[in-house]
Amino acid sequence: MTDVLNIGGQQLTSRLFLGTGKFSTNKIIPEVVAAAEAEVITVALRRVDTAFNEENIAACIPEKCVLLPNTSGARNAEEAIRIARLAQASGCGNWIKIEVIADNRYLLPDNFETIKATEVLAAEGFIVLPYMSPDLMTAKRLAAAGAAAVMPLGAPIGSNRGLRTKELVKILIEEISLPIIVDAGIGRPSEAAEAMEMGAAAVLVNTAVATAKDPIAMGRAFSMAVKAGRTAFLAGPGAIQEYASASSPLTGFLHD
Amino acid sequence: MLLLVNGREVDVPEGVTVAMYVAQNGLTPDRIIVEHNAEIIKREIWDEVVLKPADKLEILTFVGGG
Repeated sequence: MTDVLNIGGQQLTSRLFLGTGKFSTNKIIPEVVAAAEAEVITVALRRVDTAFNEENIAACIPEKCVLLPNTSGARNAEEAIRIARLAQASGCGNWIKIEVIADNRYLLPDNFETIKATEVLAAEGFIVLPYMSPDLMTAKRLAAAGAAAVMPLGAPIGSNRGLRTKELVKILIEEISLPIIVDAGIGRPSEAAEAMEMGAAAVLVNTAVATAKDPIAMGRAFSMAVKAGRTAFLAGPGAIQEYASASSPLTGFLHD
Repeated sequence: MLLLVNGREVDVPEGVTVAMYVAQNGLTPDRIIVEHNAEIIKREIWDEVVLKPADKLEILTFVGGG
């Protein structure tokens, strides 16, 4: 039986979601996606800059991938809702990552506005994946509002600081029945593995891959790490103990 | 006539439709999303929407993001 992640009716076999920001060139994205074996790919929505002819991001994403536009730029629920509807108008699907941020230093999400946006967009039929600061009550409200998953941050966006919010994320995994996808701050494959070992349903990684010296190799590393962590979780890790417990019998020693 | 495109004032001849504006500016129809006076305008009706003075056009596209 394959280990499948079901989100919004989509059966996903990859638990590594990949962001497309910060790459030195968009041209390598198809190779990174392949190396990372990522199925869900995030993008942002921006005004077209007619003066600057950028390589179109949609052209870099394989057809079989699930597009997850984010509402980055939104400072409140109303702006997030507008961006979501615009993204949907592109005809590329109805998944949306709600990202509502009014804090420019830490880019921490506004949980309150995120709940409001989730209520409206879920009711309109969007598959909503809200990006949030790990707070149990917020997660419960997001679930009640119809979110398809909950995406708590590990550390501030782009910081590569890892699972600073580990304890709170653990609580969400335990208490919320929706898939918990750790999104933001994961800086190393080991941190992605750690999240998966804890029982996260998936992880979303962008900066750690895009800003690596060799993003394709890093994509591959993350793919392996996510699989390792998930396999370990399903294998049922042994107990963490205070004191030592010997590996071999305490009898039959070669001495008296 | 003057209108706002992506927040900037732009001078556009009378009678220009959204479809014409897109073509004249070298934009690729299937890569952009257009909002006209806060309303999303589907590609099928771009040639029916005639731009008027003080109109607000937002022309958007997907870019890299996390």
